[in-house]
Amino acid sequence: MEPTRITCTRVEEEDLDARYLAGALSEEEAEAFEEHYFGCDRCWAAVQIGLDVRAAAQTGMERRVDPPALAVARGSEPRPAPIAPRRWWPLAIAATVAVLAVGLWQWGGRSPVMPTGDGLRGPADSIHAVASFRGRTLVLSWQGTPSADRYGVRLQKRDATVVVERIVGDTSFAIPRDSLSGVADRERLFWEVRALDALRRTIARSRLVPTEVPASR
Amino acid sequence: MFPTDHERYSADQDPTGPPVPGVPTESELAARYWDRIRLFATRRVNDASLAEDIAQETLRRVIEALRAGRVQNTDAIAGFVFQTAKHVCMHAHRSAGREARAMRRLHDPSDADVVGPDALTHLVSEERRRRVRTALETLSPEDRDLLHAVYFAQLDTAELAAKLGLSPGALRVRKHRAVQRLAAALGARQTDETLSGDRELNE
Repeated sequence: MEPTRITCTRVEEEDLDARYLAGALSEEEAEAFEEHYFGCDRCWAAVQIGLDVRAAAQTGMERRVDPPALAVARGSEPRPAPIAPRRWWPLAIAATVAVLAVGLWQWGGRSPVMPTGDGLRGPADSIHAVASFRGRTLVLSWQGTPSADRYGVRLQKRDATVVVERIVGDTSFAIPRDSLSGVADRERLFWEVRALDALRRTIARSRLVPTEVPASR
Repeated sequence: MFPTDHERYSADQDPTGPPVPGVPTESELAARYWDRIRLFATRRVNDASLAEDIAQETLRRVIEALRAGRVQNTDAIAGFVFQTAKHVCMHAHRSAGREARAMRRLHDPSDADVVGPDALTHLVSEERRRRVRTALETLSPEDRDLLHAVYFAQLDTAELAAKLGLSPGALRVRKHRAVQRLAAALGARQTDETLSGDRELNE
């Protein structure tokens, strides 16, 4: 690609928005595209939509059984051969986890969906965590893991939708009820904490700890 | 070099003086460039919080320059913002900002890092993600899966078009319409006008 001049036509023809978000452009190309979208509302809007879709898919992929690329084959289009995405392994892992998660959910009835990704790498239930309240503040406290550099804390819904996700250095985490949006009073949520090493790899994790959302004022 | 928390912009605080007629206001500049600078900076520093500092410092410098009359051609503001952001980013790597942030985190663990390898997507709040997921559910499966394939599974249009038996041009039209429909479903941030193919291209 000629990097010096970017136009909207080139953005469309060469998928610059999607390739930029995927990190697939050279540094020179990426910078030229950035200079373009600073002055172009149309291409900036496409970048925003792409970012939205990527972000939504990342947190929602554990609930999606069929990989998106394969699902493209559905519908009214001529049915193509399955498409192998360039980065097949995250999707393969996600699909496997999603199948396991759905299976657990179906088997366990009221059991929440287990988290995906890093959460499966550490020894399960190797951190003892306790949920409590300080007034209208939800608190999770846990035992420290000697080799942990930080802790990843996640508060999620029964269907594995992430409500809050943070990395902290302490062995407790608190969040006021009023800062939780999109959750109902008395809704049952689930905490999970993971011990992370310096490279942010999970080395231990807790079971899912249930908690109930206090009523709003 | 970065403003402290007390110096950060707010609706009732203007560290750079009163507005100047003919010059975009701080809020106008922020509405237009804030997210662009954050994305630009996050890609470079891989830190969403530092990217916010860079965005604030960039806007502060731009407003100062505009009010001091150092940018004569207001049509060139986008380029000026870009170059300023680039300059601020380069200095951010060398500044004490990162160290100061590490110290703040040490004292306030809730001032947390984002989780996960893709820092860009953490620019999208969880609330926004929920809205996007809801909006995606209103699309047809074909639109939804096409957007996933293009933006998430990272299949380029030529490859995807070949698999679907479409010309690249036809697939681009489908993608464009899917983007429009998602933007319409989301409502606020993008409008049909800004995404419309009828709008004059920025050639």
